[in-house]
Amino acid sequence: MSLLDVKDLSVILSTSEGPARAVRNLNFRLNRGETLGIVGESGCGKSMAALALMGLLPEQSETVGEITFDGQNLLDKTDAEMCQIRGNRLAMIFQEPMTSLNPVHTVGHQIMEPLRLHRNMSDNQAKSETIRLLDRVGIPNPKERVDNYPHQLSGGQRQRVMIAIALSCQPDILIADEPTTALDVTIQDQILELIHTLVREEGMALILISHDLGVISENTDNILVMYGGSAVETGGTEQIFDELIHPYTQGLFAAMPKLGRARSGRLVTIPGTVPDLISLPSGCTFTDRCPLATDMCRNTPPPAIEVTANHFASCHHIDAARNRKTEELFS
Amino acid sequence: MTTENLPVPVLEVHDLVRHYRLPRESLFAEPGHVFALNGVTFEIHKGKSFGIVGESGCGKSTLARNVMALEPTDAGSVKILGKEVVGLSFDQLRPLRQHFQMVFQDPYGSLDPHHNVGRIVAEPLAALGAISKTERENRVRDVLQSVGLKPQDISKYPHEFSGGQRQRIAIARALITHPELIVADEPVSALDVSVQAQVLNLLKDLQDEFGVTYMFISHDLAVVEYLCDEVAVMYLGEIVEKGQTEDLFSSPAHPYTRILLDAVPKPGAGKKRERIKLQGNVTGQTERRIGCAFQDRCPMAKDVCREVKPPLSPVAPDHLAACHFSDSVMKDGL
Repeated sequence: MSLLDVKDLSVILSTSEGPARAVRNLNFRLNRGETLGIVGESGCGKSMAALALMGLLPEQSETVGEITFDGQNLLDKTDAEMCQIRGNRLAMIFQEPMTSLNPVHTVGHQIMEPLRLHRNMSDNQAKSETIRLLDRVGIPNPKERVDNYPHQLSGGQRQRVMIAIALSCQPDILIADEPTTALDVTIQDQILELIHTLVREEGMALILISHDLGVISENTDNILVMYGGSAVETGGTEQIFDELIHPYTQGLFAAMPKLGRARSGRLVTIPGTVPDLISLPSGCTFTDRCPLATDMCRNTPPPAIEVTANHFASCHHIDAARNRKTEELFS
Repeated sequence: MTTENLPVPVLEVHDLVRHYRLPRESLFAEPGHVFALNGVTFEIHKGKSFGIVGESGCGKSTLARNVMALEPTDAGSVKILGKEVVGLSFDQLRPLRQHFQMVFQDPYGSLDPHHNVGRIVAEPLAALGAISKTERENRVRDVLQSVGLKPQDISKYPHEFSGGQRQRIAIARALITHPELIVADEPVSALDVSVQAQVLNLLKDLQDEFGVTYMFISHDLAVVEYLCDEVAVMYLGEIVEKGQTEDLFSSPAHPYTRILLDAVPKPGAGKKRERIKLQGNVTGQTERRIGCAFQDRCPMAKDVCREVKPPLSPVAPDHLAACHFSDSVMKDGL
């Protein structure tokens, strides 16, 4: 049995303009020690899926499906029970290290909070554990830094503090939502390396969410590509980068400026913009921007087709998509 | 750069210095300074794109603000179309501003939500003096069309547009006075990948069509490689390497450039690469240092780097680097 098994997860947010299906029919599994990358553009539902796992969705939302974590369905849990799990066995690192720390408490205080709450440590124990954690995430002079406020730390150091908080209770699953988007490339490198080392040494499972295909490709075993709330392509990282199948994945990859390509011609663009989640087509969410789309795509949700072992793509026109290279597909 | 057959550069920056005073820590102590720009020199020729890369805190945005004459400069000169702008008063600058315009990073913060698109885009025309209403409307319509927006968008408000479309509005606003120079400070970093590609292609098309010159600031090396003819790498308020994009990216001569290029994650490149990692982050903006700016983080720093400041000197035609060991960096890497 997998550590985490997500079945038919859908998240519906009620907005003033009507219900928005932020996540629809998402399925994935995660085993201990595995890393899963969720990639997609803003509004594709990747953060909503993560928040659904953590039970942190906004109040006007409805979650259906099953999230089985260690044999228990998290969606059946009460708030009090979720509080026991959240931050303890499931931990999350948020995108903005600038705003996700509380500016009026010292970083030490914020790392000690889960230790006292979940591991019933005394103040003294918690403090020495906090210093150990700060050292573990590579903050110099942890004994002094423990009394610093967030504004006294740099962006990279704040993200390290976030990681220390997430690690404090040795979670089974670590969810990192765009952990390095606000950071410079050199600092990004350091933080990803740190997450990677910690995951390997502590035997955690990692869900890494990013819009950057480079970050995903170098740091994960499996990938889930999301568009308009649904998974369009899933599979092993190597498999997917060997052969990008879904038209969206192909377009996303081609639209990225890549180092070493010099200024060879124009970038491939995907026409249009990310869809409005309120008025999605009832079939494939990529219909409006896809060069291969037909009436069938608009009306019938495409099934996930297994292309090679464990590599699925959800598209009605898989053969056409495979036969036409990206450059032709979007030109 | 071959200058014989080219007229005056669109932008000439010479030895630009900008230091910010920090608040006094005590009544008797001398106040500290942030040394944001320590003598930056470069020029951009007509129709070219000049990229500036570096980590946060290296002075890229300070440079943009000083080039745009948005704040007083401490020393040095900025010449736009051969005309000095440092030291001019607000009223003297105003008629000149039509020649240099700026596109900002955040397409959500840089457009006034109370004004409709027509008014936002027409605003820089005030610098041209009195023009007739019909002329103004025509220019707004033309410029919106050239950035790919529709004439009926004129009466809409910024909140009705997506991030990519807003950035198009910001670009239209910069273009409406037919400027020679557009300074773009991270114009695509807030956009999604698929939208980013549209905006980058648009910037390229506009350059082909109107011959505008770009000073393009970005932390994303791949974006700079795609768009720019020349690149300067900044570190602690200095240019540490400068050259044609192809030369600089294929054979970097400064260890910092090499490390920056190595740090970019590459999709589909298989598993982890072996590479040199940079420890720490940019620090030392508040101290005057002897020797090389990069000495604290450089993997190959020797005694000479701590004593003698390496000058920005040619390592190949049109390729300058400020490193004592640039020859060996180019030949053998780090």
